[in-house]
Amino acid sequence: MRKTWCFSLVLMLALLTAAGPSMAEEQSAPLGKDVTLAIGMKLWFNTWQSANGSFGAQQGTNVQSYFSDPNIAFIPSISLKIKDFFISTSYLGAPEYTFPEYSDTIVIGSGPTTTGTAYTLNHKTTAKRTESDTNIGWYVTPNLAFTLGYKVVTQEITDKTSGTGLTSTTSISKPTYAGPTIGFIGSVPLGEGFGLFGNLALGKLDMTYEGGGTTYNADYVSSELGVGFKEKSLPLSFTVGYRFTSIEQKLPSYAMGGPVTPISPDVTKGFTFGINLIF
Amino acid sequence: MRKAYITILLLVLVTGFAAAAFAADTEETTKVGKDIYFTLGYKTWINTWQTALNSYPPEGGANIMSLTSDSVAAPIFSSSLKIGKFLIAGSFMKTPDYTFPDSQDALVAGPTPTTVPPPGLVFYKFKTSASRKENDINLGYYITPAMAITVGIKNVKQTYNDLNADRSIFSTSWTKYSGPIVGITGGGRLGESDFSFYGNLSYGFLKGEFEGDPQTFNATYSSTELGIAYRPISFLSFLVGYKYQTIDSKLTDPAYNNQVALDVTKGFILGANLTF
Repeated sequence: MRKTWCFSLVLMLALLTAAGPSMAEEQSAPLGKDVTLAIGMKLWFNTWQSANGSFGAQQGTNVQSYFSDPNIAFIPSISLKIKDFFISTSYLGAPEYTFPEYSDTIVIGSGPTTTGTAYTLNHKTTAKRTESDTNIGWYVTPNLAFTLGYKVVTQEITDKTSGTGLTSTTSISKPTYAGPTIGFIGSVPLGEGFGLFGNLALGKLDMTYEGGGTTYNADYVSSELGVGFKEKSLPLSFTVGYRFTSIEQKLPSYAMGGPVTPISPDVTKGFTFGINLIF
Repeated sequence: MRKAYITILLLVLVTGFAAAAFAADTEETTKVGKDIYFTLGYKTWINTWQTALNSYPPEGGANIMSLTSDSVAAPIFSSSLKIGKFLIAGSFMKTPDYTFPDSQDALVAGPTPTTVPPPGLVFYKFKTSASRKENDINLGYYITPAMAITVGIKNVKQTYNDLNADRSIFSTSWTKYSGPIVGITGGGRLGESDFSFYGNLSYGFLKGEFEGDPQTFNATYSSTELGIAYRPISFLSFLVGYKYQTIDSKLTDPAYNNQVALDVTKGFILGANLTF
């Protein structure tokens, strides 16, 4: 979520994205008695929808969203399973995301009862993000585990604004989201080395901007569903799936007196392709 | 996605919503004949709806405002028939009204920069509620006993209400989406227990249309659901899962510079399947 003060211009942006527990343990093979280790790499062909809060006094009070061009994120992961327990961690990195340029009408005036001047403010936005998570899990059956974890999402959003009659500006906002998650992972064999897998994680994250200040609450959910394949004779497995992450931040200060509190959404979604090396 | 005319201003509301396909058919069916299985299902989807309201260029700029509703419980009825390795399944959903947050946008007629008279700040306030109907029908083929690939048709109709200050309905309009989808559905038992894991994924390319507008637009659809089912007795099973749907609407007006309006519906789902 980002808050924009146009012209005076202070830009605060909070955007969110997330990742769930890794699934490497689903494709793992014995390293020793009751011990398995898997190292994985996943490519995520994803788009990112982000949002920012407008500056109500000049733009009207609303939540503006923007949707990135497709991008490819890489997600390395490692997991270790010992008997019915496992620990796994993953990292997400991606090249810079580019968002289509968009514009908004702003009205600059000295007060609501005086004459104002309307401008068209153009936004050109790019953004980076990284994510990491660590989870511990317990297998309640051989193919279903419950997980507890910790998720961290960092973002760096660069917004260049310009317009006729306006001063061009560049603002950089660096929000960080962090907090606990809970979830499950499951899989079922499909025969011939194939399996269906899925995971779901829910969490409550705290968001802060670089430099400190107010902490905001955000709801997190992430899930992936797909099919894996492992050739018995090779220490490799492959996956293809679909993954989404969502972080929603409530914005009570954007309420206009209605019965529902506004939310700033952040959605990242797309197909994944993964490979796991098993020791 | 919705189009509406407000005095001289055209305001476009873009939303998307996608519906569920079928349940964990593999685990929930009972044999009614040789290689024939039939299932009736009911689900309650406790979901929120993130939709979008397009600004009207040039008065409002060219941007997309996001609105996220409070939760509603949407009923989903489904049935499926499996004959040999083939499957036909359908579902139907009709929701109560979703309520969205009130919002406002600055709208100024004419080219900018321009001087606007008092009060200077020209804001239009939006009060919105909406409901939707969805249905889909799918044909499937089981490539293994636990997983089928599917091809189907998805239809979504969204009805939007502009509300007065007292929240009575001022005007109504609809947006429709329709098109082909492909997907997978699968599931299997968790060990030797009565529990099973299930999941399904659908992906499609829809055409959208506004009420009263002959021009259509393209939209990409995706839907996933995964969860756990429990079958305590042979003719009845229960499930709990999480369902997530999106429709990405590509805005055709060049002023939007290829922006995409995202529509997300997501939440926990509870269901029961009765078998014959």
